[in-house]
Amino acid sequence: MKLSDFIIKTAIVKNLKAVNKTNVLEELVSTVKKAYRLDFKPGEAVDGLLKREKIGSTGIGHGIAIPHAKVKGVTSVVGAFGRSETGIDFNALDGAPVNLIFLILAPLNGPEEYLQSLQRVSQAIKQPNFCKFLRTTHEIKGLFELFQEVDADLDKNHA
Amino acid sequence: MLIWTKIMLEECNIQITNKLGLHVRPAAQLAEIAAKYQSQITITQNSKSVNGKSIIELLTLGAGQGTLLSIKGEGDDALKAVAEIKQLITNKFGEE
Repeated sequence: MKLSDFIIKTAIVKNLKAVNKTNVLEELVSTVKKAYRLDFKPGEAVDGLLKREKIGSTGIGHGIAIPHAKVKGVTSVVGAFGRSETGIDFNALDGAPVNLIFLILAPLNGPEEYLQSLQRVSQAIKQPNFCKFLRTTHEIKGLFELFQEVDADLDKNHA
Repeated sequence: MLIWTKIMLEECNIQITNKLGLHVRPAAQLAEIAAKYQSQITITQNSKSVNGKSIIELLTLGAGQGTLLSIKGEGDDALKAVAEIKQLITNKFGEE
């Protein structure tokens, strides 16, 4: 499963307007809805994401968060990526503000696909310089090219 | 005077049985337990080994339901660490 397949170019927000967790989730959910033209209720998705955050923050440390939820009306895993210049308080596990956010919305069924998307995001994060380049690239085109490059590297390594 | 430190090595194999596998929350729970201990914790799936204290590394395994993992602890408190992680996985991370 490729990162650039489930986070398409139009689902990249180079500079999030939102400055708090709830608004960031709303902004990214609305981005997903527009980018993939999906028929789901944004409010339900945001509720699901917030409910998940209550169990434990998806801010996994190093300024990265992977908020995720299963949403009715989503038929395959879809995502969005957002960068925050200011940094968002995500109650991250290491307490640090979050500035790279990978949002994942998954269908109600299909744990395999969801796990594979998480696997790809985490493999990408572990690639040398990927996060550094995400933080220093300011154009959507460049950000999407980074996704494609990391996909190519990972497919080569894990082939 | 000779100070003798005994390095404990503990290892066990266990299958992931919860429906969703090792996703973000289980990975966070596992890493949190692993981090409590001094011992080095290594989780291996097939031939791929990762640091049990890193959520991101654990997620790179993409370990779904039915996956067999090896849990290895090296250090003074390895016995307890591996036992607690084994318990967490046996209890399906508190999920179905």
